[in-house]
Amino acid sequence: MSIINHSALPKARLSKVVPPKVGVGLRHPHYEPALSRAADIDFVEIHTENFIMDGGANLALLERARDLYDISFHCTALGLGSAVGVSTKALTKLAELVERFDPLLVSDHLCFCWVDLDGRRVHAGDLLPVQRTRESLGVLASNIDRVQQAIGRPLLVENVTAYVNEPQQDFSETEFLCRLVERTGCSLLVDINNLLVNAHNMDCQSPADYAMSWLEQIPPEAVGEIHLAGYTPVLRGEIAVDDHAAPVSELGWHIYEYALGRLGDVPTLVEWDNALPSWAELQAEAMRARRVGNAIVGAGE
Amino acid sequence: MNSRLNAPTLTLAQRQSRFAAKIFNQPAPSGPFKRGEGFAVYRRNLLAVAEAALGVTYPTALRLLGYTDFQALVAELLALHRPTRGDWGEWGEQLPAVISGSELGRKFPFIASVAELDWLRHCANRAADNQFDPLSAQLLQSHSVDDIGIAMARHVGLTCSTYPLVEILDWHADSAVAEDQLQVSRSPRPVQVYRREYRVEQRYITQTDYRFTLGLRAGRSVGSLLDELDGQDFDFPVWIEQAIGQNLISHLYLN
Repeated sequence: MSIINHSALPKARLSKVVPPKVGVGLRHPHYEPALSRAADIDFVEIHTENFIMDGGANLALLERARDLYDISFHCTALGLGSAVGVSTKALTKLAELVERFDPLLVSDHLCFCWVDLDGRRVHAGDLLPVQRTRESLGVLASNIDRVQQAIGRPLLVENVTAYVNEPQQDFSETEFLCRLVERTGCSLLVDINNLLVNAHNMDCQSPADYAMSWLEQIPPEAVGEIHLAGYTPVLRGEIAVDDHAAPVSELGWHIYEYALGRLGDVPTLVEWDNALPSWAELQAEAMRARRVGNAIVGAGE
Repeated sequence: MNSRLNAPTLTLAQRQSRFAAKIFNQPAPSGPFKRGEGFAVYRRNLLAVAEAALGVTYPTALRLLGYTDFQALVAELLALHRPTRGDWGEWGEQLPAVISGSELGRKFPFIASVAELDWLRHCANRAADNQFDPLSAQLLQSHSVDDIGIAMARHVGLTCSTYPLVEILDWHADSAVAEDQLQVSRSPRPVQVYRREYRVEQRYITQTDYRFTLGLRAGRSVGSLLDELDGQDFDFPVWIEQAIGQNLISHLYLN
């Protein structure tokens, strides 16, 4: 049972994003070109864990970023699916950051990070896949409620890649996500690259069919953001890793077109975290997303 | 597969702990990985994230050690000290000790000292911004120095080494620094790390400066420290004027 008053959450914050809003992940090597003058992008996404220090240059840089762009907060370490709960300290820090910078969007992942190991609370340092059971659903709902109460706004929850297949699942991934939305009032961040990586790792005959079928099972009104990224190609039989080290693949763009056609006005972010391209190349990826958005959803309507 | 992970008698928390233990309790191999080797991917990801984080925290030590040895030491640190916070920037304080205990660290003991300085610089970079409270300085008019303590700015760090730490960092930042300046000293030289606006710097300070600042950080009164330094070359009015001017002090307080 959700404890949050969903009607009191500022839903308008999400609907403020009108089409076609396109953003990019802001990473350290791009600080200088990105922050010296405003680029033709609508928002930048930062990983909040890089900005939860007490002071210093990074927070000043974030102030500068906020002056130039809307900001999206993407968390990677809350561990929403952790049965031992979400770190109070991390949550307090996030709430302070949200209060100070008033981001456009706040998101984290459908994963667990926190466990007790050998008598100590440990952060596993990765986005570990949750079991899609009723018990797990309850844990996620409780933790998401807690986060939303702390930050006073709805959270976006992102589908992740899974490199280990858990045999005992009560729900499909899409059904699980839909139930989570119903129980918590959260929205979904659909990562198209993660769908394609999972499709490869599940040895799907047609990753495109898998991704499109997945998207068809998600109610459009539940989706608040789309992530686009690329991954390093691997051979069949090898595990693909969601390394964000490549441009968006042509298949990724194809699925994005399909997603926008189905989901409509959804802000879209291009993620690139490793083997970073130049700032200009990254902007070019964002511009392609904008062109697709204009073509599918309609420019300036 | 992984049937033990899903034993029905285990709680979800226990199943998640077992999952994580499978990642932490074995070394990270290198890829590529075949289907069915998913835990190896998580192990490699964990090490890669840790390496990236510590590469930012310890840039000079990384350059001195080289990537391969640095990676091995990070793996050792991960095995000894698992992350307990979600922020990788707060993890890794024990790397200098791990370097010290390694074969490389014994062969080149200055690297651990450099790593300590890297850590202090990292902490200074993340420390709360400081603004001296000028009203607190009035305590010097109204009370004896025996009753007054001084809170240093959070960005101020101290270390001490016989190795030329400041020159080594300068040398890595600017190779124009002459190598003949990289001389080991006979006695440890105190180094202060501090922040000028957002720029982290380091400099040698005198032994008396060092002892005075250490004493203040331990909560001792100005008066007791001046008594201890009596007869040595230490001028408190000059010290405090410079410390305020350089934003090294947070406030004075009644001890």
